[in-house]
Amino acid sequence: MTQEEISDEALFAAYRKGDMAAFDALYARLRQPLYLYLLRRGHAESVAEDLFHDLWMKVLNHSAGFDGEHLRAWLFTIARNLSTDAFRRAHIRVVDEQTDTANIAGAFSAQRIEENRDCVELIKRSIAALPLEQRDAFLLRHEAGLSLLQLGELMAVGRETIKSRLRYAMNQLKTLMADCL
Amino acid sequence: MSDQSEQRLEQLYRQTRREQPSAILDQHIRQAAVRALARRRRTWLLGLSSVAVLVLSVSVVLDLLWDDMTTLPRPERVDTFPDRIANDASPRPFSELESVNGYEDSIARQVPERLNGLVPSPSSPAPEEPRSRFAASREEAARQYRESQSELALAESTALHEKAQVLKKATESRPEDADIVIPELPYKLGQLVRLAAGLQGEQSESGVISLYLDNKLILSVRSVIEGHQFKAWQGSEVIGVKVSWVLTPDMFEQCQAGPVYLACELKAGVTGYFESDRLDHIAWDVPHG
Repeated sequence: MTQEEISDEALFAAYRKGDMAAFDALYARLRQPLYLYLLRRGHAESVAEDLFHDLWMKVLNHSAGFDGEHLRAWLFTIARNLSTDAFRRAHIRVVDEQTDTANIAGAFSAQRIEENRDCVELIKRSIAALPLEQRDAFLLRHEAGLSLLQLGELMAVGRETIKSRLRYAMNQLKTLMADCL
Repeated sequence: MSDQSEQRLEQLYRQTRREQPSAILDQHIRQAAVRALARRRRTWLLGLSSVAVLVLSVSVVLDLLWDDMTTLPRPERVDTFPDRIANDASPRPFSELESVNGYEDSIARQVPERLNGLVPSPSSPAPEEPRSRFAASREEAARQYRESQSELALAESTALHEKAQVLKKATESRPEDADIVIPELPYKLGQLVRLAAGLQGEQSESGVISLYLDNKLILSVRSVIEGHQFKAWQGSEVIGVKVSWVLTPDMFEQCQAGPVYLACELKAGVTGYFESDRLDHIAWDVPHG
């Protein structure tokens, strides 16, 4: 069995038994999704790096807290909690549901949108403009690869609520990205 | 149409996925993973030594019973540890490569030595009471093991308290230090990191951050409802690097607003601010004397 076929949980268990190669494989697999989740959730690059560091320190120092199942859900739960705490510490008021999204799309002229580069930039800003709960659902779905049920457990809401948030997120993005689609 | 637009969105999103953590951060985390493994091995060995002591105690009991001895010899008290810590008022020196968990490592190294005092002495005099039952002897061995663990815990908390008292006395002698905030007891003496020659910093579990210069508390920061409160030793100048808590506009050099965040650079010369969670990001300049 190649390392690509070994589950996250098995790699983590192997690391805990002393296999550093297993940790290297697991870390290589998860580093970018976790980092991007923190970055796209709304933190500056330096803060995202700090949170990423703190996340792994918690994982390494409190690995006994992992129940052996669904490692990704556990990791992204820690990441989400650290991110929320960071917003609180900085006294950042979370953008409320009534986000004015029109200005974002208006910043890009039709001419510039022909270049794919601007569409890539536009989707980044569009995701950033989503209300936090929708943005969270979108990012967790795409970076963590969790099922709807796992997403619901992580965000402490029901499956239908998660589906609604994802649907609203996609609809908002389609509106903002109309010229790119 | 709907599927195509969603596919296009997915495609565009995949193209945004370019940012990665820095190589230095990767290296730092890997080193922490190696250290975490080493700590687990030491803990396992510690647990093994504890079990070995207990097994040895029980074995000695069995031997005594077989040899028609009737009472358990009492293990020696571990009374050297608190004395050793009380006499050692200065923090142990750390190498420049010491990690944030260096203090825990040093404590772990001490433990096997402490446990040596728990082994029953085989040369104790034979008692004169009637023979004990085997089950009662085994329970007695377990009770004494539990007692010894309590003694260790007491010794540790005593050591922490005594160290804090030493530090408190060092600051109480100067009237102008009335504003120095001493961390409240009890708190866990957690991460002790050497920041620069003569300087040591620590962060308690409650989030209080303290800096010591030559064993004297010079700066303490703790969270309060409206932000962070800090007190500085008179005559010291602390230059902060970044801040991530309550800000006032006059402290900003420039700010950049994002959809949900505000990132600001501090003006040069702002003193007494630093990141609350990452001691290794702090740069300090404290004049001596």
